[in-house]
This record gives sequence, C-alpha cells and structure tokens, in this order.
Amino acid sequence: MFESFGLTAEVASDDREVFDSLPAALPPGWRPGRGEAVARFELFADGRITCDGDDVAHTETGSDATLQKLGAVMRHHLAEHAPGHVFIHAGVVCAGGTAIVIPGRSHSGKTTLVAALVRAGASYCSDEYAVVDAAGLIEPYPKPLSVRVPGAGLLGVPTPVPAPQIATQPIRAGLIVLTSYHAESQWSPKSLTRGEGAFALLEHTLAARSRPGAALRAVCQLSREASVISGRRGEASAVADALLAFTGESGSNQQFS
Amino acid sequence: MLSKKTLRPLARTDGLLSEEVDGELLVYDEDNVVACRLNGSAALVWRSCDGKRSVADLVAVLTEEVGELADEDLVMVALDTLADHDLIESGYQRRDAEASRFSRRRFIRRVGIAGAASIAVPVVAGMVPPVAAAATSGTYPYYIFLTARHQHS
Repeated sequence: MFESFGLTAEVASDDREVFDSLPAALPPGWRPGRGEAVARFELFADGRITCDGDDVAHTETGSDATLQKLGAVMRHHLAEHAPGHVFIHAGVVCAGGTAIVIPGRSHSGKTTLVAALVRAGASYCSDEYAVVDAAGLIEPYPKPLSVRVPGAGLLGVPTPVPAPQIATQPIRAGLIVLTSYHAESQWSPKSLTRGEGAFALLEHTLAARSRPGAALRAVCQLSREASVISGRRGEASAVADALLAFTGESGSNQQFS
Repeated sequence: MLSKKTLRPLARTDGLLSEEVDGELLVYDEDNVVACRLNGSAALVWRSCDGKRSVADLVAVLTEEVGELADEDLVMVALDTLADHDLIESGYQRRDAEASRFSRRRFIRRVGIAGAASIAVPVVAGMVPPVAAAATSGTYPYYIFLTARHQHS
C-alpha cells in the first residue's frame, strides 16, 4: 500500500519477480500508505493491468515496458483523483525563485525543453504534470526524466538529474510558456494575457470536466502572478537560455549525465 | 426584435462557474460542458448585464473602462458574442451574423485595430474541455474554438 498526494492505493501482482519490482513503478513522492486504500492496481503474470478489478491495459509479459505501463496507469489515476490537487499536463522547472510551466500534449517536445532547461541550470520539478495545491503552488513531481529520441522506443532515454538539482519545495509559477517544436522555427515569442495563459492551461487539466471548479481555480491561481508567452520553437537549447534569461537566471549550460 | 432602447440584457448565471484573472474571466458551463474565456471588455459587459441596464447604460459602463473607444457597436458586438456562447439569460436576442459583422467593421473603421482598440474588442473564446485521457495524450480533438453555441448530447 502506498500514499501519494493524499491518495492511498494498493498495488499487487501474482508474479513474485514483478512484485519485488513494483516500487520502481510507484508515483513520484510516494510513501508507505496507511488506512483504507481507495484504489487497487494489479499487474498479472499474463501482462494484464487492472484498476479496481477493471482491465485498463495489457502489455507484453516480461518486457521492460510492463512496469512502465503500470506506472503510467497509476500516475494517471492519481492525477485524476488526488484530493486537494489539480494536475496539469506540463513540464516544470524552477529558476530565479519561480517555476517555468510548459503545458503541452505528449510528443509536443515538452520533455526535451525541460531537459535543456535543466542542462542550462534550472532545477527539475516535473516532466509530466504541474501538480497544483490548494494555495496555487506547484509541488515537486520529479518523475525520472526520460527524453524520447529517434530509435529509442517509447520509453525514451533515461536522463538522470543530480539530486541537488531536483526541486523539493512547492513554488509559485513565474512564467507560462506555450510552445511546441517545429524544425527551423525561430524563437520569437509574443506575450499573452494571464487569462489566455489560464485558458491554455485548462486545455491540459485532467480534472477540467470532473472537477471544473477546482480546475478553474487552479489555472487562475497559477496564472495570477505569471508572465505568459507563446511561440513556436526550434532547437531546445537556445530557447532554454532565453527562458532562463527571462526569469533572471542566465543559462550556464551545466552538464548532467 | 426588440429595439436597442428597450433591450435590458440579463447575464446567465445558472449552471456556470467562473474565475477572474486580471480582469478576464474563465467560465465553465456545466450544462453545455464548455469552457469560455472572456477578455476584459466582454467580461465587463457580461457582469454588467443585470436585466436593468440598457445598451446606452452598458456603453457608459464600458466608457469608464476603455474611454472613448466605447460605443454602441462595441456593446452590441459584445452582446452578440456573449449570446453565441449561451451567456445571456434574457433581454437580448442575438442579431443575424451580418448585422454583427457590420457593427464590428464600423467599430474598427472608427477606432482602428491597433493598440488599445484591439484590446477593447470583446472576445469570447470557447473550448470543449478535455476528458482526462485527452489532457494527457492529446489524442482527442477537444480544442475547438466555437463560433456558435455548442450543444452536447
């Protein structure tokens, strides 16, 4: 049993070897849970994944993707149901005392930009969700960073971040960046209103339909003190330096392996 | 069609959730499962539609915010846009599209479209909020700017 962002759940497997590996699939920030679980996940030896008894996914048995898929299922469930939190699909780094939030769909180049920002000196907060608490702060959600590259499959290439460069404290948003990768594009962003920023965040908010009041509050709180910029981007490294300069923290191109 | 002098638009509030950010409003329509963003002038007109104010009164309210840019055309464009998104309860019936476009063109001819004038133009952007899976994967075509009231079955 584990607890993460206020949600207690249990996870089980009928395969001993898989069972021993389950901690690797648990959501960021998990800790042993107590009390009554509100969700139960199971990974079966035949590759089936269930949530509260319902089949939700199927993977090749013994593949590296099995635990990854279970992890994705649990994180998605958490993102929908974690009490007191609103999850927005976004990459987040910290720089200059505030957070840079990069909302985006899968395959929009969000993780690549997050990795470039971390290489340039920003602290890593998340490459999957901006987790907004009741005070409108973004909580760290440091899922192991993994960058998709051609030929590396869906799981991407693990990109470890040094522990001192991983955010540990909730932080207010200072910059919301609406962007996606387009080869050959020159980074020339335009400013948007905070209302436009909040509206764009709502597009990527998991609870937008199931908890619309909380979702509206969260995206507005997040935008209230943030600058909002929008534009197509080319290569991530140049954009990362520009974004850090925007927040007052110049890029330093620090290396991490 | 009521004459402009007798119009007393009343903003719809039932079934709506709203949050303000920097003078703009985000509105969630629980009945139609649609989210809207009202820019500053659209938000001001919507909030001022109390069922008592006439179009001339709404011009006066808007004048306090945007100065001489405000006129009857601007208010009528705002009301048409708000009605498009089902944000008017009563006291106003959306005009036909050509009448609305004419008001917009006449306003732009008068004030131009640069700088403050562009900010004053009422904008209501609509979006069908994503289901949870789509917010993550982006595989669902949920992001639709609406030009007319969007009905969900």
